[in-house]
Amino acid sequence: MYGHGAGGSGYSMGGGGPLGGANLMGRKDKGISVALEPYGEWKIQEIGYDGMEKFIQPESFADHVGKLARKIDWRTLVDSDQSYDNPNLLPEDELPEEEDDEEKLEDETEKEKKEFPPEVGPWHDVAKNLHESLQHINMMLDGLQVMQHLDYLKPLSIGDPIQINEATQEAAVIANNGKAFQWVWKRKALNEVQNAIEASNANRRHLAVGGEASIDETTSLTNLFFREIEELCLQWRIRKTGDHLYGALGYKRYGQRFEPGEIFDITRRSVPINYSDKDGKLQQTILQISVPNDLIRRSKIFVSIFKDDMMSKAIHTSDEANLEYMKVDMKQVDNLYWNDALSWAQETLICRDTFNQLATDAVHLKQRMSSFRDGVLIVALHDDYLLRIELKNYPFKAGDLPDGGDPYLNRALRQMIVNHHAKKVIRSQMFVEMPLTMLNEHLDMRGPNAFTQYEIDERAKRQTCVLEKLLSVASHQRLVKLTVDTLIRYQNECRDPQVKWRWLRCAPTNSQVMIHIVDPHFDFLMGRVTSYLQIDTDCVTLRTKDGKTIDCYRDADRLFNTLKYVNITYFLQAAGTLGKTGWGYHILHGNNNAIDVDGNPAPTLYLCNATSTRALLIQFHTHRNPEINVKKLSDDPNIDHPFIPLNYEKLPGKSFCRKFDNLCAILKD
Amino acid sequence: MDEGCGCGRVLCAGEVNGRVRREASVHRHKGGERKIPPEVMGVSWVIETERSQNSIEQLIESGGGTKIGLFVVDSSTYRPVDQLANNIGQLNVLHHSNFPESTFSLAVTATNDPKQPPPKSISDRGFDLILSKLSGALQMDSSGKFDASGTEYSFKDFRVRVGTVTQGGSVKGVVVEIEYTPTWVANQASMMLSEFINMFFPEQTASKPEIITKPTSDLYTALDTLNQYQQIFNRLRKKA
Repeated sequence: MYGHGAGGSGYSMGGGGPLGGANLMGRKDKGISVALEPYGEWKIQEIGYDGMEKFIQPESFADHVGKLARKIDWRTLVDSDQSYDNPNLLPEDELPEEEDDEEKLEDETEKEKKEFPPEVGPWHDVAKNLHESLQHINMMLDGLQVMQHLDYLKPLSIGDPIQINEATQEAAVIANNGKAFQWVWKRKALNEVQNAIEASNANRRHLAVGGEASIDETTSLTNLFFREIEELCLQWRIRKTGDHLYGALGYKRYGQRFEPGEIFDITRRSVPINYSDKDGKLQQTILQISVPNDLIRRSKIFVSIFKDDMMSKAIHTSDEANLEYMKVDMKQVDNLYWNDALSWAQETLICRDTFNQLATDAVHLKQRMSSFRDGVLIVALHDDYLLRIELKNYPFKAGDLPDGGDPYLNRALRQMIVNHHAKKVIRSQMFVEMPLTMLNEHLDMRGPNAFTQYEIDERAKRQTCVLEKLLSVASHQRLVKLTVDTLIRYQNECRDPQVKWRWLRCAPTNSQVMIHIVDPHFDFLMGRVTSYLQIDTDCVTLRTKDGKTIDCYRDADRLFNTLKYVNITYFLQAAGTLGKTGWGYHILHGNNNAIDVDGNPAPTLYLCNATSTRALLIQFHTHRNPEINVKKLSDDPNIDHPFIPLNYEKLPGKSFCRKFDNLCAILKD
Repeated sequence: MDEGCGCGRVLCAGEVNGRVRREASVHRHKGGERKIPPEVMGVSWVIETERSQNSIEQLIESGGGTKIGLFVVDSSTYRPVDQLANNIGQLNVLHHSNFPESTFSLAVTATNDPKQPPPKSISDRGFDLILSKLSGALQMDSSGKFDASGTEYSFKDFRVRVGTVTQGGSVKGVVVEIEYTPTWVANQASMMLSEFINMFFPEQTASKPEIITKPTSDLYTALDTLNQYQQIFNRLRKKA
């Protein structure tokens, strides 16, 4: 064959082939000229003057695909709804810069449209469907992952797998079967969902009723645990650090919480234990609490007042023989219900801190003796009376603790401690029209008002310690009891006149009693005489209505005598008023300050009747009946009749006023 | 002097006149020294004397005064800067140890109008800190600071403070403050103070402060005492 061409192949021996036109032997044969050439030759780019030929390397497959890809307008394929896919917004790379931009843009886009027709037109739908199917696959993959790793989704089999033989079944049959199959699986799916929802509803109803028996045991224990944790969090301060759960027994409102000595640990039991609640029903608990070892006891503080005399027992001994609380059985403690254990431990903590506070205050007390031994603190109250504060410990078990001490003083002590801890240490911030100051003391404007040092010192509030407050309350309580006992004794012993008393004011450190003395048959004449008893922390004082004050200090007998004195002054006034107003007698002399031979108060009254024929001399005594003496008065001054004493008991009438009234009637004329 | 309440004391509140605020019943007529609570501030008469502090102290002690402590009065002057000299007058800031939380300010007006009295104020000690912030307008004159420090005596109803006045380390004089504590109405204390001064400092009777001689029954304030101190310091400043 001879010749060569672009697509041909062959061997030629003629000219133009690689070997040129001459054969190898250099002789002219008449044989066939064969040229072997590739089918496709590389194009020659240029031939150099030295005979070097440069060929254009043909495109590889990747180059060819790239060339075609550059011609595809991908934006029209991906999502035609996107604004950036708008073919009108194609880049203006190749557009010349001219003046009218908008018109040029439009022209350019039109040009580009003409220049770059969407070559993937027929593939647009394919690409879109591919993309959608990819998205569906992604969703399926997500669902599968959720089903695999989490418990939120569980696959259910709702139908048999269908094997479609494509070769035999037609498309319509496949579609029909597909529809039927769809109905079937949809209905089955709905049935399954319905069953699941009904089951969950039934479960919830069951739980609301309270029965957990039918629920899985693990779930019920978990529920119990979380319920108890919630209850614990509502009542106590709880903190979690990592996997460790702990709480604080601290009761103070201000200051540091979670003190190291007040922390309790919270753990979960492997097996719940039973305990009986306050109604006696058996309940279960799965929480276990570990309180500090020094708080594994039950404590109580007892406050009482007693007299220091030879008859009282050893005041410091606090039943040391009973050291049962020191024998701690940890197994029994571990099996306690956590709520009980925590409240007992906190009570122990409060009692211990209270006692320490009182002991510290006792050390700082001035001019008051105190002694401390074996959990008993004795402080001198007044006179021979002592205040005893005892901290008693009991075993860490269920049961009521014995009562002791004075309930009022026990309660007062607890109230003082609570107030002490409830007091804010730092003044809260507030806007005041004041000089710049952070101190409470400066709120009285001591600077601008030029207070002297003395005034500043006097106004400075000294913080009273808890023990001093308790002593004043105890002292006042003792004086109140003394006063009440004396008043009752006075009412019982003195029936004439009638004595009534009532409380005007009752406070922890001062009280006031109003006393009425009245003769009910003669109240129209005398009215009632009122006196007041003021009871402080160290003194009882009687105040009459006209402002006279008699100090009775802390002496019951003195108070009784004072009340008796008030009695006889009433008699004096009653006799004077009755005689003068009722019978027209003349009062010659009255002495409220007279005393008898023993030095006791014995007021006297000297009066005579209207006709001045008879004179009466009455002396009133606190501890016996009044002395009534009668004397006949004569016109002759030389004749002086003696006083005749009358038997008070034999005078007609039950009360003094009645007796005197009758006597006045007898001696009237 | 045994008349009146009969307590036998030299000076007794109950015996001079009945216009004294304190009742004679406050006395404990049982003999021995009577303790006088200082209570509120009284009326003061401050004098500057040529005598030495020691001699005055001996005089008070021999008369029956009891030493109760020390006292300090200081006065600092703040002058306006040159640019504001026509607008602001100088300010004198005083402190008295009997009023530990207070700062007293007495201003001198630039115009010196006699009809318009210069402003005075009492404030808390924080005012000193505020003054340091105003150094752009008012600058403290360190050389013009006066200090009066000495001893305080209790003498019946009187408080007597005897102190030496120094300015920048050099002694300028001796100042005595006589405070009559039972009242804070100036004219009520006038006679008592006059009698005291007449007894112990007869040469000073003419130097009675105006506030005490006024017939009105205005209440006496601590500012009046410090004003007297400032007037004395001003006189001493002019002294060599």
